Amino acid sequence: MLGYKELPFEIMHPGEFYYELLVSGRLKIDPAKKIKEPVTLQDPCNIIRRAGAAEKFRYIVRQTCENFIEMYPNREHNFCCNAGGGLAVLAQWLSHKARGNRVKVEQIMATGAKIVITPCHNCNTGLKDIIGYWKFPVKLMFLDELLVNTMHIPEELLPEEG
Amino acid sequence: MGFLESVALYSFLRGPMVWLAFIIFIFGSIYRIYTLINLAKKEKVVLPFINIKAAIKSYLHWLIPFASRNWRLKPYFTIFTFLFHTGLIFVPIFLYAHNALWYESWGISWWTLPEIVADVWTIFVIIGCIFFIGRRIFDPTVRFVTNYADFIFVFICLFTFLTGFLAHYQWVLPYKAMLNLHILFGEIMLIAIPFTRLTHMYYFFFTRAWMASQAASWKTKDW
Amino acid sequence: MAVKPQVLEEKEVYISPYFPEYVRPKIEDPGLDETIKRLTPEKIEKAYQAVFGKETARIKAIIETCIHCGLCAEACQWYLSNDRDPTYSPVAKVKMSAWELIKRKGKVEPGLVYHIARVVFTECNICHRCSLYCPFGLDITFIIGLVRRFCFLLGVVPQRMFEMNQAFMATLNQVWISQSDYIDTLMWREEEGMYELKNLRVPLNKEGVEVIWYPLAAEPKAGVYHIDRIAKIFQVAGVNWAMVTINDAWDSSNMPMFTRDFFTMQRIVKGLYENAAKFRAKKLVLTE
Repeated sequence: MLGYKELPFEIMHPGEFYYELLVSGRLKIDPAKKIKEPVTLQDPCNIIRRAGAAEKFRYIVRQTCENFIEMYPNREHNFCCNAGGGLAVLAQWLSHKARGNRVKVEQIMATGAKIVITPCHNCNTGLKDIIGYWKFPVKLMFLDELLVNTMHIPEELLPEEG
Repeated sequence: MGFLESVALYSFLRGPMVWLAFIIFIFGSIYRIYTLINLAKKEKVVLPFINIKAAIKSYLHWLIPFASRNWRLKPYFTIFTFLFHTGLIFVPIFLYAHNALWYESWGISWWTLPEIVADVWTIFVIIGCIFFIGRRIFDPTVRFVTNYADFIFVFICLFTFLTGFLAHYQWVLPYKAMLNLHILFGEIMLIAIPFTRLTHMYYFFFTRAWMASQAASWKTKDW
Repeated sequence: MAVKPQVLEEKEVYISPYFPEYVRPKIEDPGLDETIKRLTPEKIEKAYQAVFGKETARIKAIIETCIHCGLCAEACQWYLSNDRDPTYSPVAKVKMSAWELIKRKGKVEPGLVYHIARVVFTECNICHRCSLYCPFGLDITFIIGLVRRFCFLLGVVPQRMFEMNQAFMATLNQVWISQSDYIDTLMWREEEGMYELKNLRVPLNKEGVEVIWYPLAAEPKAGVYHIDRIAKIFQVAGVNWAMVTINDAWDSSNMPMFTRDFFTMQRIVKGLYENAAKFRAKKLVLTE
């Protein structure tokens, strides 16, 4: 990987690409569809701590949600979801894993959010595991779901009835 | 007691031993740094990725108290560690009595600390040592990862400063015995730097630089 | 806030014979329990030599600089979640794995290898948070990764993780999807999506596009709605995009990274990059 220091193309997380789309105005958010429930954002380690996309994600979330509450600690100091580094696939160790991430649960509960936005598949799996184990009432949402639900769809793209 | 007070020991410690200690300290340190950089050259991914600007930023954030998140999370530890480490470096260099020795030997001298500041700072270093030893004994997290070597080099620092302080006020032992002990421990400390984990004194700058460069390449910060 | 678990706890307890402080529930995992029976001292030492044998600057600096101050403990969610149990702190994990290996120069028993594998595979997530909290900026996860590689070379890997790795070795994606299944899925989603958005397209293997989207292999397998959503977003935003189906290189989740299987990692990354270069894409968007 380190051998490819200079590449002829950019590599990005969809979040970063959505940010570009939103900033350049190619994708518009429908203000009527904005999400009203309190949301919070899980910062995935590999994208925040190792790619620095924190502000871009916050921009997307602020654009699409009305009530955004930060977790504390946030950005590159956020706690890990306990799935990304290979723990995601360990089904036998599920309760051990979930017990090992009580602080994440407390962190999410402290925000009082109803929806946690997880911009990463592994974080989604990890949070699903701890929600299943600790039984706390939050919903998970991906960034793409968020955008599909709130984006403004031009008239000519709407399907014909019937 | 007679041996500790003897002039023979004093002149040995003041004469050849000082030279030995400084030579071992300086050349040992150079050797350690040189071998590390040489090894880093062999690993192709280390040196090309070093980012000096990020490294300097990172040094500043970790060398200023409360400038990084971990320092803020542990305020007591931060206060003790900064008083201890600054004292450990600056008190020996700027102490009036040490300056007199430099002047005696080579005719050089520089600005010195006022006596009261030096005394208070020395006491802080001693308290810092005791704090670190206490941490290693009573904090279960630290105790789990501590081995004897960790105690030894805290004790070396503690004895050096304690004997120096006591010698200055001529308490407990006769002045000459205390002074001899003080010089002995000081020289042991100098010799120990390249061989024990006291090397963190200069390895700090390398490991920090590497982490800072990595963090910079990930567009994030490491404090 | 008090949160209480509502799942039955494991009854049996595993206490490490090497570190009596290490008390954990006993969890059966054939990937660890069975494979350690096959180990011999020679094999272990060979693996040790392959990973730690050559003295390198990074390992040397990290092992020799660590002052055992325990400041990294505050960073680890395992440590904080388990009521500050000392055996969960990052430095303790390094102590129980890398220090022990280096101290014994690789001459360790299978029992210790089990212990090490348990620590590095199931109690550390390589989240890199501890490096932000270490005053020296030591790359603790780098050491954990090396120990993972040591265990991988011995085959002592939790079963599910090893199976995942084998899937990557065989098919370059994590869920054994064949090329025809993959193409089929994408075309099916295109067909279905047309009812929701006019002229919805999932372009395949188009040259000179702005964006190539590499999915996670679980998406065509179990979460096809992701493909719909991405297609809709790109359609609405008018992005010239494509998905790649050739050469089997289209799964962007590089899971062999977890076991530090560098050879398979390289095959995957190389495949993705070469496909991107082939279709002259300006941007690669990997999945969420």
